Amino acid sequence: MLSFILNRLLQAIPTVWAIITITFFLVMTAPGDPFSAEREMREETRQQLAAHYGLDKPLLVQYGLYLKNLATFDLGLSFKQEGRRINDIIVESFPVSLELGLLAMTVALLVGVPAGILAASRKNTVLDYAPMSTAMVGICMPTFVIGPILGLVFGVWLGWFNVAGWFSWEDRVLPAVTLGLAYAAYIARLTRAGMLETLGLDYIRTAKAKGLPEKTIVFKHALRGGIMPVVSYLGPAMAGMISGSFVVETVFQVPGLGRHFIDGALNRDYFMILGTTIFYATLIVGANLLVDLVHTALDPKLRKA
Amino acid sequence: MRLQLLFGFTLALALLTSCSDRPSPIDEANADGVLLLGNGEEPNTLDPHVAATVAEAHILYALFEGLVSPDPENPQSIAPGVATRWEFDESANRYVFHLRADALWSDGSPVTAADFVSSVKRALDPEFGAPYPEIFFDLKNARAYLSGELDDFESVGIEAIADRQLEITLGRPAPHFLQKLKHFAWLPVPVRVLEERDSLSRGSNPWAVEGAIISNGPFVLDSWVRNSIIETSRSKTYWDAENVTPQGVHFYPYENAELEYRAFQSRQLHVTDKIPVAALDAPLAPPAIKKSDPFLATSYLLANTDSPKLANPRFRQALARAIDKRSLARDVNRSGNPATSFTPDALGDYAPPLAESYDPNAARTLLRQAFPSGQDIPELNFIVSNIPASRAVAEALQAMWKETLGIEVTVTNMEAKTLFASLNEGDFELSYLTWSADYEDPSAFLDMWNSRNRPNRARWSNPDYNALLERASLEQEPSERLNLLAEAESILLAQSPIIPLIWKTKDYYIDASVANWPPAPIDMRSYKRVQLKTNP
Repeated sequence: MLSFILNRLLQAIPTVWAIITITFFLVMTAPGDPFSAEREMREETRQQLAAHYGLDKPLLVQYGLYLKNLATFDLGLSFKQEGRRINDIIVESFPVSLELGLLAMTVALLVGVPAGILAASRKNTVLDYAPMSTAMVGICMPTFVIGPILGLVFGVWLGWFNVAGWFSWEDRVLPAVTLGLAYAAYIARLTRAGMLETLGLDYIRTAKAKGLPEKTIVFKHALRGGIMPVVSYLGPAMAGMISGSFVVETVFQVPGLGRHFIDGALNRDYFMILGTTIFYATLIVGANLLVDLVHTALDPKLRKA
Repeated sequence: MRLQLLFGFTLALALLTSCSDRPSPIDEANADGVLLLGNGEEPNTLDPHVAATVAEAHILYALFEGLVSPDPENPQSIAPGVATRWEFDESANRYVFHLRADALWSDGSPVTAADFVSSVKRALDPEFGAPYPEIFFDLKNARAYLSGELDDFESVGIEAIADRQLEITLGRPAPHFLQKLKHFAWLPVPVRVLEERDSLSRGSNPWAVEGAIISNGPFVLDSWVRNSIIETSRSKTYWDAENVTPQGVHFYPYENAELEYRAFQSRQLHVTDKIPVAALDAPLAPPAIKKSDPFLATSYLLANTDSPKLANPRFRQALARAIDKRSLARDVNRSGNPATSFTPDALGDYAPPLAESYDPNAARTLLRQAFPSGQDIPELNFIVSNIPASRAVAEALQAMWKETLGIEVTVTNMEAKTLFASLNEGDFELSYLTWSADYEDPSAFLDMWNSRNRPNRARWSNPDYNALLERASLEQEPSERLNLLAEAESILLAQSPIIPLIWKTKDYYIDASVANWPPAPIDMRSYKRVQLKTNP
């Protein structure tokens, strides 16, 4: 087991290194620079600032310096938020993205799993078609469409929630629902498929033949097997929610890390793009590693592979 | 049937709105006396010497106060700030500002003349790299000090002659000097504290942040949550604190105009920064009010005169006269007024020259003169930002030129940074940009095309134009100065390295509970007399 973990860790390092290297050179060769703006900067000022941030050095030297700093977990300074360290920005804004992701995951599970169970146990009836077509719509509708609609209905028309901001617990509702619904739809379909497969198995038929009540069959016997596809989906879903929440963050003015990620790219805030990309990459690589470990622990066959 | 159902549903929802008894953020803010402002974008800094955006300026005018400030009732005119009065000695071209005795920093220490001297020294330091050093160039030797020709700051025309007396010597006549003095680059910073904290240079320890900032304005910074909110409250140390009406000002950095609009509709904001294009015609229910204030900003077409395709002024004039600016402003941009000059006509005594008007026949004649053989009429590459409003204008222009002149123009949309890189490298033929003035004077529009100061993006250089601007800068008599500037502008319009298209207006929504929010032509204002009525 230990050698397996070490082996996977060693595989993760080149992955992250490759991401760092590719991102670094893509970012540095993108057109424009952090200092170009509608109002032109004096050439002298541009040179001074470039020198301050070490941008006047050859690209390979900059790359070397960046890696050197990275070895001490120093992600560098932001160009846009002058004087602020990327580390501080991540520490400040990631908890917000994490909270949003966790809340959205709760919404996704609370909505998706029951809908999937209902659909599977009432196969080919209205109770199957209705949630499944809704789920299809949910999968197809991007969050930047659902978000403003929810804001308009529950914020502007009904006045139940604020349409923007992240101040009170009420402000969490609309962003979490918007982000959660997209995943709820997918989870509902996974649950339905898993449940249908399980419900067709012999042991369920046996249970039915024994005259067990439907509730017991569905929840006690079928759900355990039927939920498995959802469980393996949770890892990637969580990573996706945390790293892919920037649209929802923009739609509802949530001060999370996703906003910095996008603004970093638009502003050519080099170290911000690099820092957030490396952070997300490490997060996702780490999550995948964890999922693999859990799978291996559950299924000894994988260890030999 | 379905549509009717949908409509009924919508109506029912709208009716339900009135059932919601949750107090809106505006109601609560009105009760607390706090002004809630949409602020366009997230500020990068609150250091007046590093700030460069309008969103930053909005906050700086709450936190800091300069020698003079925008008049709270009429931001276009000048009100005393830290200076209570000033004398101007015309023969010596010298101002003496008398500072008020009760002006204090937020740490309780006095604001002195020396603070202004050290602030200007910091902003003009060639090592510092401030974005707005030009604002100080009226000062004697300021330009030479910035360029490094002079090492000794003592030679620059600013001196503390007493604790509360500041002498400013100008190096050239500048009738608009006091207008420039309102600019945020002139706001003082507590240099002595910055030195102690090793925060003097750019990019070192940020000092203008929550919990650390020391300022001298009507409000102090309470909190700054990035991409969320900046909260300020009334300063206890401000000399005029008892007459500052708002208890605080909160700034919300809504970049997305649609989101800001929804926030305003759900009564989360008193004043918005903009109006989304899609909502320009939407009816508004009271207490919302739609405003369209005069604004010193001009949208213009930029021609790269270095490109062989556009080197011929006649060709550029042909392009200009084929543009129906009225339709462009009214039907395409749906805001602003057709621009007959680069300098908007809202600038006091300045009478801008008129550009030649829309005339398809004249445009075709000019095109024939530029290309007598009718051959070799080039195709042009028109680069614009990918903002929908800019794209719409570019496509309308493309259609006008095609129809009137039969010219093929390729419109290329670019993300902002790529666009600026192409503009700086000269990798374009045409572009569409907006220029907004830094201070209320025609020179804020005309100086940028003086190629002796620095190269411009049109790559245009005209000795007559430059000479007229130089003469204007040395002219003592204000009306004669304006005449010279107008003469220069007529050269600019005739040569058409740029083609003014639309005089912008400042379009925004304001809640009826806000009183005393006068138009601010350069979008810089004081908030200290804004009133919030609990029952509008």
